Amino acid sequence: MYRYDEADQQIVEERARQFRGQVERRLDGRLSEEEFRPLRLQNGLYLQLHAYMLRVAIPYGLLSATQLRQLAHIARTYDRGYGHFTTRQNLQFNWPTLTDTPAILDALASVQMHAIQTSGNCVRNVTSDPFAGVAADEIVDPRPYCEFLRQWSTFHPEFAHLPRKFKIAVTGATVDRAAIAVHDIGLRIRKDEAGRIGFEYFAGGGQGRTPVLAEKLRDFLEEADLLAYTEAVLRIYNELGRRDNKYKARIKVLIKEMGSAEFRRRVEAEFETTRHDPALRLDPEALARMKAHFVPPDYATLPDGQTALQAGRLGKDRAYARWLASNLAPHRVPGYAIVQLSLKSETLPPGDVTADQMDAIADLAERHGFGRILVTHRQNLVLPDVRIDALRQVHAALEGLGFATPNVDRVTDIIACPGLDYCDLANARSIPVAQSIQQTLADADRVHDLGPLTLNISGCINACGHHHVGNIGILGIDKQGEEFYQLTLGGSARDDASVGKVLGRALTAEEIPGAVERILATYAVLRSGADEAFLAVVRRVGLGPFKEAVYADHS
Amino acid sequence: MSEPVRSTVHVLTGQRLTDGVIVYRTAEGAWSESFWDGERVDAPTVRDARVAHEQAAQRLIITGIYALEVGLTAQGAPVLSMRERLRAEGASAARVRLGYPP
Ligand code: SF4
Repeated sequence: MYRYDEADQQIVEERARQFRGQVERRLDGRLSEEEFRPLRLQNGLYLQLHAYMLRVAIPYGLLSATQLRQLAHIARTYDRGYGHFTTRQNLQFNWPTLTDTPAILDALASVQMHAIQTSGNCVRNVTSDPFAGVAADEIVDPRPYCEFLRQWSTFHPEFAHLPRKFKIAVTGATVDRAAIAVHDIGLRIRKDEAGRIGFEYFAGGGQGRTPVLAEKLRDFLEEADLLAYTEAVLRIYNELGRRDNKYKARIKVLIKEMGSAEFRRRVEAEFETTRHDPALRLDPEALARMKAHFVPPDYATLPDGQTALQAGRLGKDRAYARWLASNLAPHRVPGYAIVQLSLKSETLPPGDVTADQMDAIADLAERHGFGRILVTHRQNLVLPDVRIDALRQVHAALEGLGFATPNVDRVTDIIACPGLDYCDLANARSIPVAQSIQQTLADADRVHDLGPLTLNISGCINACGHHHVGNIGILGIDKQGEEFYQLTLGGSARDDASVGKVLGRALTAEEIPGAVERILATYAVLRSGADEAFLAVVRRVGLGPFKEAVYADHS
Repeated sequence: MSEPVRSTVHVLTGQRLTDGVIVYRTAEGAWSESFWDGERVDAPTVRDARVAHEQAAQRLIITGIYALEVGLTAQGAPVLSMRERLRAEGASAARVRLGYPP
């Protein structure tokens, strides 16, 4: 994993020191709230419904055990003993005080972490495949490119005040687990026939008020040109993106209004300038230096373990069998598996982890791996390097922690944004709705039988809970001061990305679990067999039967 | 079915600068963590003047001061939007609702 050099370290320490002074000046009145607000936001500190919230960057979702223990320490010492993993692979502390925040930033800096550029109209945390570096279907490890992008975009003076926030996602595998179609820039790393690395380059995707799937700008951008081309895209957006209306300020609107052909033409023209800038060119030495930070760890030579996996899947221990079937992913190295920790138990809100659990996960990552933990955009965690012969032990440990629910990518693996329990922008609560659906669908066999199915909830149209791209999406809306929820069906964040369609009139919180139940029952009747996934059925039959099921006796 | 709102009044509210805790202005000019302690103001001119005054006077203590609208039923019971109901319940109640200690 990338280690800060001396200059990096100095910058984050200096930033924490500066913030301490800024807080002092706010408290003694030398800074007004108007002057202070942008300063705190530049350090990821928001003022939410009940308290401050600090958003900590986790670059491309990769954490060391040491960093996770430090997050546990911060949660315990300065917060309320827990943190919340977000759909942007970040971590949010929901209850810090303003006066403690400088100490938190110091604590983060001591483990090479920070909260810089987790807010504001700048390039935000670059996100990636949570199986980066270990996935069996990986073509190229995306992490070196994510790190190049992180370094290029951090404190980039020209892009510190973009028309709006800007999000980049990168995948290097055959399956898109990074939702690249709904990012401002989405990159799919490819190899051409000659084995050269390059990028299928997309731009203009996004969710929020206007959900749009990204347009392809290039089939194959050469590896060396990644920063030069991205600089060109950002320059065009920075110059021409709308600043008169924040709802029309994202790059997706610029590309829609201008047309993708014209946008591409302008980017290519600008690229003719940037491509000759040596500072933006990824030469072979720079690439080799960066890739050296991400060399694979010292894996043991092991039998492939497939017989043990098969036996486990067919064994009498149904909980273990289901867990193997849904929470494991194939590793590129024989004898190892990728283990996903479901943060969707019935006990804690989706994405929440207590300080004690963080410590325990860090221990597990060291005992059963190389001390690495990854955060997924579906608000789960990943132990990337578990030996297959240790899976039973790991399963038992995760059961003890409450993270072995066998539901990854199943209907109860619900994404839920903080919603009106925390968020100042929310229309409605997300977490209780997620919890009531989880309670309704407590039968693990049934959840398993329903197959892959994503259910995403956002507390407002900002769509942090990715409801637009949930197979089932739930959006909280405000009707005369009361919470209502709109259902959408047919969204997908994967390679077959699509935006869900609204099913009908909004429902109350109490009506939602029953409506979801009827949608699932309809699917169970309509599917042609166990292999036809929910999304395929919605695409085949349309919304009609689901609408009928939800509203027939309830309108 | 909730009771119809017959009239509206306002209560001044904001968040404590040091920790973001929600507070309400009392009739004595102090700030309380309880919505029920909040003074109900009905004249718009008084309300606006008070908001402007408190925003300046409390700038080192309380941030984001505004007048929240409170509906009143025929019996004088307050009716709040869901957002303001959750604010009024406070941070401890939010944590308990989510399964955490207060
Ligand atoms: S979707 Fe809305 S309610 Fe949810 S976290 Fe984002 S801004 Fe807040």
